[in-house]
Amino acid sequence: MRGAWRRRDLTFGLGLVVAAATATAVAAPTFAGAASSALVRERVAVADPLDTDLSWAISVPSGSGGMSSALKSAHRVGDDLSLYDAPVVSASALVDWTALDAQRPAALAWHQGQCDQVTVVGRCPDRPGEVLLPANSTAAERYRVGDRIVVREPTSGFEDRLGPAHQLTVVGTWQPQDVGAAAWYAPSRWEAGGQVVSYSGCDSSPTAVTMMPLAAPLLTDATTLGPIAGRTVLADAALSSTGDIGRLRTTAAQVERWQTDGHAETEAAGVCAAAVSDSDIDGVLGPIGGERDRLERQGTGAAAGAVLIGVLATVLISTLSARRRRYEFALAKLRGVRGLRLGMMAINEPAVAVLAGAAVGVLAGWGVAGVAARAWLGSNLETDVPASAVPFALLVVGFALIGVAAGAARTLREPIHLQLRPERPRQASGPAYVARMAVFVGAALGIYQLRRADPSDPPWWSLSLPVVVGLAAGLIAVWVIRWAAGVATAVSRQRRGDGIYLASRRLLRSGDLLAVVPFVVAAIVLTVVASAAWGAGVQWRDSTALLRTGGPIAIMSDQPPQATLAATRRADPDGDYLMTAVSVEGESSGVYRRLFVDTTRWDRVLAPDLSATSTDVPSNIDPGVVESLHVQGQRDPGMVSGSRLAVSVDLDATVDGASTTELAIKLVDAAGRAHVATASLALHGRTSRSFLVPYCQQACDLESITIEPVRGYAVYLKGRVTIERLRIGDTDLMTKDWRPESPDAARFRPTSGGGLTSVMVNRPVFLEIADDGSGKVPVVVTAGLDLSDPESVVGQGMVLGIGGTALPARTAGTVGTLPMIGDSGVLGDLTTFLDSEPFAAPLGDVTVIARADTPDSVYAALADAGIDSGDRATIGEARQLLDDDPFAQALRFFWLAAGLVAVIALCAVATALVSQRPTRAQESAALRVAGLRRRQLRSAVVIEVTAVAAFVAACGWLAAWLSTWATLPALPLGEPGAYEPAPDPVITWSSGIVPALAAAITVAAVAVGLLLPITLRSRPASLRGGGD
Amino acid sequence: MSDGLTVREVVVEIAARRILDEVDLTAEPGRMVSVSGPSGSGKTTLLSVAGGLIQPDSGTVRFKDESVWTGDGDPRPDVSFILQVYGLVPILTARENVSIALRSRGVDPVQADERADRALAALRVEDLADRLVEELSGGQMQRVAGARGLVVEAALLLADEPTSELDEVNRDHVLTELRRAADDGATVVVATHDPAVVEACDHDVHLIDGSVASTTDGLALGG
Repeated sequence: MRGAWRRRDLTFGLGLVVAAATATAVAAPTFAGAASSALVRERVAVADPLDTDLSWAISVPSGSGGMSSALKSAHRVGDDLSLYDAPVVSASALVDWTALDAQRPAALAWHQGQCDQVTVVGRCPDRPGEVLLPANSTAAERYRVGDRIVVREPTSGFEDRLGPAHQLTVVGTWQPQDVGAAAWYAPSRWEAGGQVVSYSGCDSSPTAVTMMPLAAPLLTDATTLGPIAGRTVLADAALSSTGDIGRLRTTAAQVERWQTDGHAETEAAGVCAAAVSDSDIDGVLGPIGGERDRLERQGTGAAAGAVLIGVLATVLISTLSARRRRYEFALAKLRGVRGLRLGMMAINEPAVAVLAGAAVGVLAGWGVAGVAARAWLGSNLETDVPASAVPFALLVVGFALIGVAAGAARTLREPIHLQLRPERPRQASGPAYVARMAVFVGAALGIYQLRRADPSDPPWWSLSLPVVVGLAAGLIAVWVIRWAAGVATAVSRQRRGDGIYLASRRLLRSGDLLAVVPFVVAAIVLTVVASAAWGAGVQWRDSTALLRTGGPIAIMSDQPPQATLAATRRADPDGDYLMTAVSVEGESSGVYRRLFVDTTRWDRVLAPDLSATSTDVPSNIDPGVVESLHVQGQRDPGMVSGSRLAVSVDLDATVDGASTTELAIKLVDAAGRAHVATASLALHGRTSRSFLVPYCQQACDLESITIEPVRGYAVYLKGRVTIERLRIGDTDLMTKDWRPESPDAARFRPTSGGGLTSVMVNRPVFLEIADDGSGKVPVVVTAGLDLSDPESVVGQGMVLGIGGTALPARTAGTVGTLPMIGDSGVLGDLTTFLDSEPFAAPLGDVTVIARADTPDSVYAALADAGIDSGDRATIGEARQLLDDDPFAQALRFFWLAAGLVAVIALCAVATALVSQRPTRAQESAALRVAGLRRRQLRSAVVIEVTAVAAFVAACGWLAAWLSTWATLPALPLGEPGAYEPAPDPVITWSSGIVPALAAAITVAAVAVGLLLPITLRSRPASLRGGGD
Repeated sequence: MSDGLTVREVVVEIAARRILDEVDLTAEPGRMVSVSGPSGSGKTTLLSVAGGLIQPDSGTVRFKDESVWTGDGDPRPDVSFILQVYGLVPILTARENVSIALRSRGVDPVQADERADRALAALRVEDLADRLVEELSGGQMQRVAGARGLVVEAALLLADEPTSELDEVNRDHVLTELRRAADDGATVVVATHDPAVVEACDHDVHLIDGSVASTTDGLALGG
């Protein structure tokens, strides 16, 4: 049994390699197909419902039976549409409710499942004639539950008679559950002034008519609407989520035909349905189909590379298998077996192994692809083996059988006496030489072409290139090993050391171990490319998640920037956790995206988490530049907070026609409301006053100080006024810059105490806070901003502020991308810009960026200030969305391909080594007879394996770098949105070291594990041969 | 105490079949002893036991008063073989196959190559020194194997059918070298079924079915 096993180990190995290769041929396209289905499904799911969903109107005769027909027809049409969910049916009708409003009609409406969509006070109408009134409406104010109302069907206006009356009973009120949320399809139908489609008769096309109902509709049940003339029945259906783009395209054609060709007759007489939406599924599917095709092409390319390895490995092993059976063929010939019988004998056993291996491989490949798809792409994906897998699988099996037949034919052609002798060294056959040259040429051409190709649309074979480069590098490794062995052979001839003496000669003259080197190198290369792609994808997703969120945690604020800033500073006075940010999205090349942040907190709030990710976006911003954006001293924040205003004024003046003067201090609160604090001033001497200013508790801006005589007629103030003290809360406003209303009104100069001015005036003093006009606001711009664009405001030395005010600006630095606004925009300091536009309504979003470790107490303080931290987005959530993107999932495909190729390489290595065992056993026995000891034989094996492993590692590492450099830019690492930078993978020398070493160590361990025992256990007695 | 090979009552059983049945054999230094018999008589097994490749099931085998069995099936350094199946290493050339036997015994590599060349020349295969084993004919391989066995100048030389593939001229060359080894003090034991080889030896032990059927002395003297 043991002897039979030994004769069959190579056959088993052949089956194993074929199984691995076939599994690869099946798994790769199966997974690629599943990934592209996942992509389609995900893209369809996030598509705008207005583009994908379908609505149709049903025209029915009036009467309650008509309503029932309409509902049936609506569902029947829905059933005819493949890939659409069951429709949601609704109906509405305008009625006159003269008791409420004689001019404008009211709307009666019913929506399938309506009471689950709204908040009902009372009960849901469940009988004909019951209605819910819209909450917060005139009707709800005037009518109560149980009241009866009378509505009439509208007439054409040319009729004298009134329309039929319908008595309805109020059973409650309703209001939408989510203000502003599109809980129902086309919510405009439920608002005053919404469009309602009018459709009557089977010969007409639907027309949209703007109705003007009084208010939101009265909700009733469907039967109530049945008899009312002019009611409209609509059905809305959502496109089902599916990954089958073929069915989607068929459905798109179906919808397009229906939208353009008019109505469909339904089963009942006079009942018609017509599409009333403007769905553009084709438009949606266009880019999706392009993405999917691109993904499939890439998958096919990667699969082709993996299958190439499989094909070559099967040819190698099948050839080895045939050569091992030379002695068996010789004996058969001696027994008289000839011709077809001899051929069948030669082919039967390996052919069975090939076919059995292929069968196992198909099942294994399908299973592996299914497990990988469910783990990485989602549990509800179908993983049918696609048609593209068939040619790959046939290729593997075909080449394996060709290898078996060719190897057998070549061996059978040998004369018997040569078959009975040890095998002669073979020169490379013609086809093998051509194949090697093809590999080199293919690798070189592929690298050249790929570097010149358009990165946005690389050729399908780009992902096969790493395998070809790996094979070429492996062939080079074999040559280098043989060359080095030749040198070692010459050197060891005259030096002691039997280990290297034997190892060098084996490597120089025996090819079996070296034959699998290209496969191992190819596996290394593919693993490194997969690893680099994955790493680049992770880096890109980290950056993009940051861009989209803006920081570790982003809390939306519905308060103005000033109030948000004040709340942030109050909740986190030290600036360790919170930072206010305002982002404005520009809409044209000249109006760019702007981001304003409290830059004094950038380093502490944003930078620590950013440094913990792989993103390099913020590291492009020099902290010194960020700091310089906050203009210190030149302009203090106009915004202060406090509950008490304290002022001291020293006056020495005379006034004609008045005995007192009045001090008026104008403050603007966070809501933009102006307040004035006034006090009478003695004409001579100091007046000190303290005012309660509760409106400044949150934030307020000091706009001006006016000192003027208290009289209705003009008088003039002469003398000197000095404002010695001005304080709000803890803020001393004496440091602010002041100027009189008109430049020539007075001369002013600083007091010896510093700060405010002492003024000599002869007219009312009107002092206001002003900018010193000395500088331009500094901003950081992104490199993607085209400053040379004539429409570029920044290019003209200006920048638009938070509210859109143009301000002189200077560029303090340039970066690649900025959080929230991407690769096209500017960054400015929030407080600096607020000083110029204190209470301008921002044109964008106000956000509080929080660190991930922000304590609950800080959130509580923020909530006290009116900012609810519950409405937040996190980097983690944004990253999870990106991780779930099909392109990200597809990157895992490369791991799958690399894993499969590694399995093939390992099987090939193991099989090739096992095939050498009898030869090595005999050699070891002969060497021991000659006098060598086991330690010398062990040394020879270790040296041989170590040399091969070292060259494999070196060539694998270099080839991996080369492949990564050539291939990585062509890989679809992610799909950036607008203004988001595309993936920019960084390729380093060191990226291939670990996989190369790991592969080399694995091969060495397997080789030593298989060869050393047989080498050490082979006894000289086994050479007795003659048997007696 | 004996300086030669002493085989006493050796029994070897393989797969329940007695290959050697209480075989005795004595070979002294300086003499050539032949072990003859038909195929399957146990000649190769006897040489394997004598050289320490196989441990007998019973009996003793000693050379220079020490057991030849080293415990792991490797021959003692003072024992050299010429195998019936040649025992050459395919990845080595003819010279290297001979030289490796000297290198493994600590001979300087340069001297090992020189002595290998001389050994190959003695058997008239010096022009094949750089050829790989697979490129040699059966007779050439046999002479290379013979050169390897002779080059180490072992105290005990065991040759199993060393001339089976050779013509008369080459056979005589091999016999001449074996005689030279014996004259140099080696104990030479040759397994053969060739009467000419038996005649060239000093003593013959004839085996039939694993037992010594007869012994003949003084053959080399033509007796």
